[in-house]
Formats: sequence, C-alpha cells, structure tokens
Amino acid sequence: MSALKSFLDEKVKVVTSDGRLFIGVLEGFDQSSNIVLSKSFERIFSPTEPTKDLELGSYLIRGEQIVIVGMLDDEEESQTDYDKIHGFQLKDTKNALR
Amino acid sequence: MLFFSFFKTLVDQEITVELKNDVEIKGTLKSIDQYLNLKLDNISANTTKYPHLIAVRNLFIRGSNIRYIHINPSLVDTNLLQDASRREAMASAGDKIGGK
Amino acid sequence: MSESNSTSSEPLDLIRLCLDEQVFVKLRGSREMVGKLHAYDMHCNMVLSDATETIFYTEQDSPEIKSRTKKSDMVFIRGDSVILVSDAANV
Repeated sequence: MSALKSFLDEKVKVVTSDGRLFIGVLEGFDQSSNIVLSKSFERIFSPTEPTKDLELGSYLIRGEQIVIVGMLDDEEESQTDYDKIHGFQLKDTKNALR
Repeated sequence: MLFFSFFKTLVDQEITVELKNDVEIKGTLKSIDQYLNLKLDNISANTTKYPHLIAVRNLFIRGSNIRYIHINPSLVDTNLLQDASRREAMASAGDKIGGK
Repeated sequence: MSESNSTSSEPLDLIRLCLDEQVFVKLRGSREMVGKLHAYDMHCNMVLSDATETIFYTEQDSPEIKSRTKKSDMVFIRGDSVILVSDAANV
C-alpha cells in the first residue's frame, strides 16, 4: 500500500467503483487505501455536453470504492481544453448480471 | 502468496490490466503488494472513449477492481508456476490438518 | 483426515488436477474463458495460456444474445470474478 506514498501532496485523479472521477490533492491514505483529497472536484464527461467540474472541497473516499489513483501531469492537464473533450460515463465495477 | 511472488518477478515489465469497469490500461509494472494492488508507470489507455486518464502517466490500481492482467508469455515459466501451485496446495492442506 | 494431501477431495483439489490441462472458467459479467491452466491459489486466482475469452451481450431493443471472443497468450484472472472452473473436456 506504500505505493500511494509517492503521490502524497500531489494532484491526483481518482476513479471510483461507481464510475465517477474525482480530482484533488492527496492529503493522506491508510492501509485500506482510504484516501483524503483537498481542493477536490468531481469532473463529469458527456458525449454531447461540455465537461462539467463540481467543486467539493475536502473529501474522504473509502478504499473499497477506489479503482484507480493516478498522478496528474500538471502541464499536460493545463494544455487540455476540457470544453472540447467529450467522453462516456465509466461503467461501474459490479459486473451485475443483466 | 503465490501470485504476489509471481508478479514480483514481473516488476519493470510491460503488462496490460483489464479492470472490472472494462477499462484497459497498458503500463510498466513498478510495484505490487500482498493485496495485488499495482503501481504502473508510463501508462497508455483509450482516452478517446474515456477521457478520465488524460494527463496521467503513473497510477495506483486497487487490486480488488482488476479483472485480468495480460502478460507477455515469454516472461512466464509455466513449469515453475505449476510446481509452485502444487506446493502451495500442499502447504494449505497441511495448515488445515495442523490447525485441528 | 489420513487420506489427505494428494488424494483428499476438497473442492480446490479438482482444480489442482487440471494443472497443465485445458480448463473452462465461467466468470462474472457474462464471460467465459478457455485455456491451459498453469497456476491457481485458494482465492481461485489463476494463470491461463492460449486463452480464448467469450463475452456474451445483448444489443438495445433486441433479446438476441450475441457473443464476441478475445484471445490472450497469457492471462492472470482475479479469483473474485470466477464463478466455476471445470475440465474443458466436460463442457
């Protein structure tokens, strides 16, 4: 679990098991990969509408809900024009029978 | 512990991880822990359909959300794996008897 | 428990007998995988070689079940997706 240590105090993107994307500064984590983000927001992509960012502030995300924690490259991120980026909602990880 | 040891032999190799949310991520395996949580460097993923990982190069994947990990077969000694599996099966059978 | 170890009949022993053999694995998310088994553990984590995955799906407004296949030369399957494991000859 110490793998998250190198992301401390860095901006990260977090994908959760319900398919949502959170962005913030990684303030802390524990053995179960529970994490705390500061200055966080949720980013919502749509195939047709412009990308939306919802301000959230400080956020604790349960380890069980975490799929990915990725370190953000600030330069590449700031060069990306998210108004022009479209995408699909990620699926959840439940694989429920349909 | 078999697969933990197995993946430790694959550190610094390129693998492709398929997650339970259908996302596939290719990258260099940098570390692994006992829960099979992974750290990948230099990742590539299909950001056209899912732009979520734009500007991400290095990431942590929680083991519980992995469906498959595709590995280059030239990196795998299948005989060694089979022997290790038999040994692990014996060891866990022994644990149960010993525990009674 | 005297007949333990090599001949005892716990469920996972069935998988041990499939080592180096073709196995059929049914998985969550309407998936199946056939391949040669090289490793497994008590969680049903597995490694298969020359594996063919079949994914079953339906398209919107149609009850017809379709399938597509994907191949993998060497694949690790996480045990929590596994529903059943069988000798591929039995399927």
